[in-house]
Amino acid sequence: MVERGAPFQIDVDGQPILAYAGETVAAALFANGKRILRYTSKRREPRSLYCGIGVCYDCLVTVDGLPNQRACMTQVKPGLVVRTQRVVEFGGRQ
Amino acid sequence: MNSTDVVVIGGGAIGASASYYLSKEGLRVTLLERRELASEASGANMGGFPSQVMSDEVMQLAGQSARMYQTLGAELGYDFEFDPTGSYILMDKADQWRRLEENAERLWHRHGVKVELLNERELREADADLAPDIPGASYCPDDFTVNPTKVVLSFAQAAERLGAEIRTFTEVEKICVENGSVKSVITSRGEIRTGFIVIAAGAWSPNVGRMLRLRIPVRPRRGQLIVTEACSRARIRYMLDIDYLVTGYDLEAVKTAEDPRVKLGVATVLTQPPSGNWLVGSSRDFPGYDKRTTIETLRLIARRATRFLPKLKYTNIIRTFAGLRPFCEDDHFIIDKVEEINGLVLATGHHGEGIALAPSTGKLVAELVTKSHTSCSIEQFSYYRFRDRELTEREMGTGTTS
Amino acid sequence: MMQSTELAIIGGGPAGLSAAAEAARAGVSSIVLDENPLLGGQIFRQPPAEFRVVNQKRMGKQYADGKKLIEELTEFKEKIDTWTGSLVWGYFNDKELAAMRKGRLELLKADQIVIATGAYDRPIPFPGWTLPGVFTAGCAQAMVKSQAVLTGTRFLLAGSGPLQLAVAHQLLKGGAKLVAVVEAASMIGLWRRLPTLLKQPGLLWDGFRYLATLKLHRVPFMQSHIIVGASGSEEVEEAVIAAADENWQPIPDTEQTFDVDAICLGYGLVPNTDLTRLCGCAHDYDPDPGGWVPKRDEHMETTVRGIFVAGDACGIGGVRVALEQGKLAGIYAACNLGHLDEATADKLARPIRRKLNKLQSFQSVIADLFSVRSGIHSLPEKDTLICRCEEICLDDIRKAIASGALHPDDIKRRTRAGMGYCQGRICGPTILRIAERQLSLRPGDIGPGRARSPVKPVPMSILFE
Repeated sequence: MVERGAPFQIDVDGQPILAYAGETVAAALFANGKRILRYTSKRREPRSLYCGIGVCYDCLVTVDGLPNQRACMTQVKPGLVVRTQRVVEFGGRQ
Repeated sequence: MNSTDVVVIGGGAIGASASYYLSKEGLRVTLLERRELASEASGANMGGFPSQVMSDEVMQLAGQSARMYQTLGAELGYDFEFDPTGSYILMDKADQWRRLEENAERLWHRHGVKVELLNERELREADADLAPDIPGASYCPDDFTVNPTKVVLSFAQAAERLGAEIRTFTEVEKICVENGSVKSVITSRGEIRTGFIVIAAGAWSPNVGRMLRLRIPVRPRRGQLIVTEACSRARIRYMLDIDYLVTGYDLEAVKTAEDPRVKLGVATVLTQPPSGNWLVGSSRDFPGYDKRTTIETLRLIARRATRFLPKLKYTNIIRTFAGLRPFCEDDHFIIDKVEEINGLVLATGHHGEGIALAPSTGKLVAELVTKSHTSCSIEQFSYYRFRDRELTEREMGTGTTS
Repeated sequence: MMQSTELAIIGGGPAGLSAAAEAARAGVSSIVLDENPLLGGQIFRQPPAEFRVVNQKRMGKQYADGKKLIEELTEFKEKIDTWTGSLVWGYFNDKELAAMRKGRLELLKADQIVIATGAYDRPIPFPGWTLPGVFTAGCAQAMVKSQAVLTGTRFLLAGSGPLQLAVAHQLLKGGAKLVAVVEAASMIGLWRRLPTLLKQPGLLWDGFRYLATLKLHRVPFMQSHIIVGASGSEEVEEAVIAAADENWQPIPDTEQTFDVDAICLGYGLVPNTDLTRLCGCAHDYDPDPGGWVPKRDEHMETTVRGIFVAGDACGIGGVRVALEQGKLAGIYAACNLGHLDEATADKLARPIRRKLNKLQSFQSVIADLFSVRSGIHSLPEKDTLICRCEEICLDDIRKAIASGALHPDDIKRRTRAGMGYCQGRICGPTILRIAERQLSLRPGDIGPGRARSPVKPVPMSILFE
């Protein structure tokens, strides 16, 4: 039905992952079997996509050093660096 | 019809504290709050206890409150997130040392409050996240932060346990006075017969005063706040802008200022409660009863704050809100019995010190009601320092409040 | 720094787009703002520009309808400016909007505003609902439609109503394995309403078509069943469903377990009223769409002069209702702006209103059949999270109410529920229901909560521009 855009690599937790132009970070991660995006601060429970449309803020990952970005609303780019989140980080990149 | 010993009007820190200390004296108390507890200024502030920037007149009460706060959590059986952060006044420019030194001298010699001056290097050692060009700071180890909403809730719940009745979403519509004595309060949910009323309605006290033809010289002074997402726990979690001492926020300085930041009364205050969110303030202006945040002030708050804590620029803002502080005409609050009407006590106008002074104020209110005199002098907070106390016919007719 | 526009339309879904087109037809210049990279909203979601559509026909009707409407806008490209990747996060003063456009601050002063912010899936807490692999029907749909990615391999769909069937159909088309589609309502009621439903034969036909697809793929369709649990160590591994009575109350000892790695929850939609609340519009409780919705007159104007609302944001009505309401909003905004006189506006509105009346009776039957019933409230257990962001559980909420909280804002203050990133969108509807039940109130007695800028988190750096 659709043909994806140009493929390239992104870095997810230090591993190279194949992504396609136009995809969201969530799609790229899910397509590669990575569904756990973060662990919560209180109960240390795994979280992933929930609403998929940018409303619930569950799918938070760190993108190019900026923490707490919605994976479902962030687009991939060649060389994008994504980190799943384990601890609350302060203040992102300078 | 219900009857009670004391009706406290206002469910903020002062009202809740008064309810508790009155209940402790064995009185039956009914607290009336038109929305939820801590719905106004008491729930819209930074939760800091900044003795370093308090005026001489309030230091005695402040000291008393600070001592009470040390054991209040245990006494009330409620955790209001007391954090012994100390407070840091951060310098902006190198030529401000004298101001810090003078303030430190004042605090020590007049009030016995110990303050340490830190130079640039010592400050950076205390917390490396602060801007590298802050020339120095004054550190008061005895200052602290609390969760202001929880302070209100803890007083209210402790009062309830002692028999007080807390009625939220209940508005006062009329106050009945007979033969010069308080007789009853008519609310949106019925009438309450009582011999005593405490007006602790913050910026809304004038409304209540109007029901008694009394002019209560308090008006709303807005303070805006930015709340960031949760961040890792900082070492310094309570800091203030030296502009608190430099401009002092006296109205004259604000009126004549050219700098928009000074005009809108913006000076940084930063607190980081246990949740990890940074509360970024603060501002002062008189917009009437408007609690909206404005883009101009939010911009000024953000910019000034990042001068001291640069990393804030890279956090996400979760929400902004504003509180309406009850600003008393001469910048000092009112704690007094009203002579013209038997059974009326005023405890209001605490501006930015309501949370800080709630414990001692509550105790004073209990004294005024039960003993008619107080354990310490409250002359300077007398209602009678204001010459015009009765509202004119015209003033009774007008009234822009909400 | 502050730009101005005649008309700002917030939301680029069916309601927003049709409002823009109608307004443009009358000569109004507008800016359509949408947070997503492309226009279309949810139902008209388009695949990314970088993807190439190989087989238009297989993309489905909604893709085609959406594409057509978006292309219609290019007819008016002098009049309609589209700002995608733009989040409207603040409202200051009269019709002054603060937006974040591709990361930069934009201040926009509009003469008239149409709020068409749509809706989102109703959150239904139950034990295990926060596990990775448990998501909304909207999520599965968005991923399949616009990203061509399946969010799992073995799906269980649990919910109620036609939306679920559409998602099931899409997932099957995408090659997913569905172990069951679980419908909380009983279909008997549907047969009794046949006369009304026959008025919209197209929609009825869609429904039958979807059911037929399920049958063809041998996917069990279980009526009067509800999800009661999800379990797994790090991701979902099992779904537990149970039979339910007509109030959706789970019947004890009827549990069945399915091996799955994906659970889609489709229990209806909730209007997105953050902006209408922030702008000071009055809200009413409307049990038919089910929730607090902005009050609006027959011009689609709210209680704030010059602010209109259209589409699911003012009550769940579906795409056809959204399209017609959007047209009305566009027409009357144009009228307010002086581009149309009232007589012309009313004349243009007449056929639209007729269409809406026809649609509304069908919609209310659907709402009645599939609206959430009280049994849903017995699903969460004491330690089930209600506020996902701040990790506040049912017990925390109940304790706050027991200790005197009478209103969602009060519960928020005491528990922190609603203070997280999602600004109470996910926990809000549930907390209202919990409070109503615990305080023996009727739906509509309390709420809605207060909205504050920013309606979604924005980086602090945006205040530096």
